[in-house]
Amino acid sequence: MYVSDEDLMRECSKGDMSAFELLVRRYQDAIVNYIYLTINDYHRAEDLAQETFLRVLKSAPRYKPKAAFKNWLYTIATNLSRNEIRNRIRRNTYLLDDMVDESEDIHHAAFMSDSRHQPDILLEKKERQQLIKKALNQLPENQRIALTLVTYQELSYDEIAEILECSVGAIKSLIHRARQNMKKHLKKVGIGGNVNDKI
Amino acid sequence: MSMIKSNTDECKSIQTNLSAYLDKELAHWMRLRIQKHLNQCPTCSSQVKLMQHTDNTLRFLEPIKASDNFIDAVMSKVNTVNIRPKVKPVASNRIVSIINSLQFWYRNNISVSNPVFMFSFIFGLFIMIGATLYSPRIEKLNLFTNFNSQSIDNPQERLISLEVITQKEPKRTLKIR
Repeated sequence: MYVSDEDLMRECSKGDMSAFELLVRRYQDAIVNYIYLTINDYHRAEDLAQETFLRVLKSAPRYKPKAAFKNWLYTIATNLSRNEIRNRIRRNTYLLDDMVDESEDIHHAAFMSDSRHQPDILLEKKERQQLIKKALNQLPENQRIALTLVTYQELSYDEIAEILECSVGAIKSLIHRARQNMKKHLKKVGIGGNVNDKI
Repeated sequence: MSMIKSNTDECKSIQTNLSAYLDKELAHWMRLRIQKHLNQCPTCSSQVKLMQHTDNTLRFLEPIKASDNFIDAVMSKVNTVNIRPKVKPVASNRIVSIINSLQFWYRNNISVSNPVFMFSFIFGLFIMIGATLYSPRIEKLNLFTNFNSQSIDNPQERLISLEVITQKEPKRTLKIR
């Protein structure tokens, strides 16, 4: 039997830890992936994802199901990611290239365990993914967040508007600009210039 | 199928909606309008193909998964979280909160040598001394309110008050027939 997120949250507010654990199981991959694509640091993304769930639990007694739980969860994750990006910029420690390598190693290890992948194909794929990440990280903060939410989390414009607290029209133009910029950045790094290119 | 001239105003308005068109976020009538335009306009058609290609390239990134011990790590931190239950505003709670707010100095351990404390203490002291030594005279205040009182001894003051009271005859009188 499927229990909705909102019902699980109600159980959470009564102190049911199994309901909270089920919520974490449902969203752990999505939230880690989302924060990772936003801040480009896997270990920090895991820390922030844990912090996101702890904040959910902390405010569970005050939770009112006015909006979808998923939107609320993504709002918390977005705020934490934004703070992290701003802190890094302030501390001048936003070194994108280093972080790409670090996260790639984790992904690489999982990939290598599959014997079907040949080294040359693997290397090519890895390089391509690095270039895409590099292009994605060149986008302004808001555009990157909006594009990540629509492409990887597959959220609707209405949901994104609620998460980023702006109008649907603003989201529409933000995503349009993000795609235009992404096209330019991909072209710069040598991908996406030609429609007939192999992905 | 007839081709239309590219880079028109129609093209501009279509191109701003191409992203929403790809994400299927447009109304049905708008989708039909864009589809019709794309069939006729090679520029917009190539634009939408490029945008689709960019989107496909982005989707090439494989999703990252949380580590195996993620849930254990979260659940181990749960005990450290201070979960505050929802408290309904009760009158007694409000009174307690007011009393707590009045204990600001005490709770914050503000010492007597603190400059803010010293300033506010001396300021308060001066106000108290000033109010005691130079209190306003009550008789003077009553002077302007009691015109006919016997306390007015100054003849000029009495004259002024008489002038005020004296009624002049009106220049025109109202005749009643």
